[in-house]
Amino acid sequence: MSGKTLLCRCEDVTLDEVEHAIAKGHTDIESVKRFTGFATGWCQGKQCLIACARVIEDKTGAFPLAPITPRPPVHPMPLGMLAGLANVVSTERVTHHERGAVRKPNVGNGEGESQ
Amino acid sequence: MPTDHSAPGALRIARTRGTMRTSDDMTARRVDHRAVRAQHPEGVLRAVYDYAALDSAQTCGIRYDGRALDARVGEPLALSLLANGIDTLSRSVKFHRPRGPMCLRGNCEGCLTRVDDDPNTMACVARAHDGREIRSQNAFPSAELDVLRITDWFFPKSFDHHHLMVRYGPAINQVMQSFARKMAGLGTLPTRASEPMAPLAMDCDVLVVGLGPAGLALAAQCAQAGLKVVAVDEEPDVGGFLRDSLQWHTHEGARVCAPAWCDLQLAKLRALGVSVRLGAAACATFDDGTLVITGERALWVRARARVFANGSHESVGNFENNDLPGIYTERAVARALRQGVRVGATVLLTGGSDETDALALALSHTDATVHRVQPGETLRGAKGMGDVSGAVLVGPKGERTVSCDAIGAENVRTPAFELAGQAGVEPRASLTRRCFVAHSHEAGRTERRDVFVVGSVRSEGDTREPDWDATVSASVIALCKETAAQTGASR
Repeated sequence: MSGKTLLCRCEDVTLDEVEHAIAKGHTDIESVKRFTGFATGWCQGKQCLIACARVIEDKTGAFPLAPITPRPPVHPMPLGMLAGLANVVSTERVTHHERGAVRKPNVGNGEGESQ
Repeated sequence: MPTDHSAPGALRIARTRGTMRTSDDMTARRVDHRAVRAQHPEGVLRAVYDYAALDSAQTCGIRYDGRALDARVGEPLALSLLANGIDTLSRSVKFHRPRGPMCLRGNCEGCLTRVDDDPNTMACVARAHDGREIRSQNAFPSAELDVLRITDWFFPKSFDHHHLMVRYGPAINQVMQSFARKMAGLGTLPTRASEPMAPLAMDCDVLVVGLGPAGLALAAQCAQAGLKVVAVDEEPDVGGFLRDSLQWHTHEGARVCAPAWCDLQLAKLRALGVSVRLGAAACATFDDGTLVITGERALWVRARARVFANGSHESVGNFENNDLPGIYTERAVARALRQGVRVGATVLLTGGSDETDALALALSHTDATVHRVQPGETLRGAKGMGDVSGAVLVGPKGERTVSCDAIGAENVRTPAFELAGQAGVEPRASLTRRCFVAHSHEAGRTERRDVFVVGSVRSEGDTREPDWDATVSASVIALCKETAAQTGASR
């Protein structure tokens, strides 16, 4: 038995890797995510975000102040549905989740209406 | 010492036809609800098995990697496979470690399979019907025996593919990249491209996301006040965590089991004219609409007020080999049992709540051997080359090994703040609960005027406060009326 503790199941990131990242000075969630790739898989952090935050607290004594930025989609969705959104274009607006960095998907009145 | 709760001769375990495993491998079995109800007219066992929806379920034939198996029409495919003793469905992306169902509620990647022609289908969400064809993914020659497992042994601690070969210059880097691109990815493309599907637009006063106890109460209050309510939940049934409770609940003075209580609430919502969409997951939310996906199509819901009551995520926590097939959240074990499937013959439960006690009792009446952790003991790790074969517990008296073929690990519950976060509600760290929450003010209000958060997703658990739902719905109703007056139109 290899004895790994899987912190992020989706991307196969081990506890060891996260501890290594913290030892290298990555003590906030976003940096650990970029260094190890945790929370970038199927579940988008549903399983692993809290595990990582608690490891950071255990190692540094401080619970991280912020999680990773919540971005859509929260659940995996079929590409056909995404493509359907693009077909009913309305204006492009800025969303709150990204403080202006990401555009909303182009969605209009639905039911095949296009503008 | 391990506790053995098994009650002799309590239950017949129904054998299924078409099983390809030997009896040694047959760890998960069907449970006969009717027999339990006949033998236990009272008490917690009756509470577990009172919900008899599956009694009338028809049998159908499905195929897994070419093998014919029996299933019950309408049950999650992951349970059909578990009932046939199959708990290893794919291999993980890098280490090719075995993967199987873990949460049984569409939150993890454990049960991803190819179903009919669709890759990466969650087998705990997809339902059984005659002729369904399931294939394991990311494994050669099979999920149970995959040759690339050597990766796991070759990198005993970790495999940092981001930084692995970058230092040896561009040539080596290119070779590694082309190798990695061939190896990476989950599943293979469907044989046909799907057509773009335009979303269905819906307008309402209030959108309620999540139909656990908080969402159910709030949707009912708003509908009673005459508002047009659309309520969605990603699960096929309402109730959230409460649905999997094994305790009795009260409805109008009568004692009912949890799923029956939930269904009564659903009937109430429908009678009030709430548009309830189940199996409908809110994916993204913006000022002018919320994107909800269902099995068939996407919905684009425009609401005057958005209420996020989408509860918590669940995981099993950090311990050695916490990803092995056969490790479930405690709630997943309860959910499987209530739907007629026992996850193992010897089950270790690490929780210590009333629900754990009820689950241990209920499992023991399926002829399963149940082990519990003793006070002060924690789960250090799971053992097993493929799926789980044992667990190591550490306590004040040292270490002990328990032999088991399934582990129901204490639920690690953390607020699902993501959607509220997209709506502009800042996620904040809760230092006492060691998690992130959707930050809210009194009565579910947030920094966004049209966004409310209720239930376990917010900073304080409001369902413990008396009349919390009336307080929150009063704010929601006031906002909707105000907005309607401004725009001069009713939805």
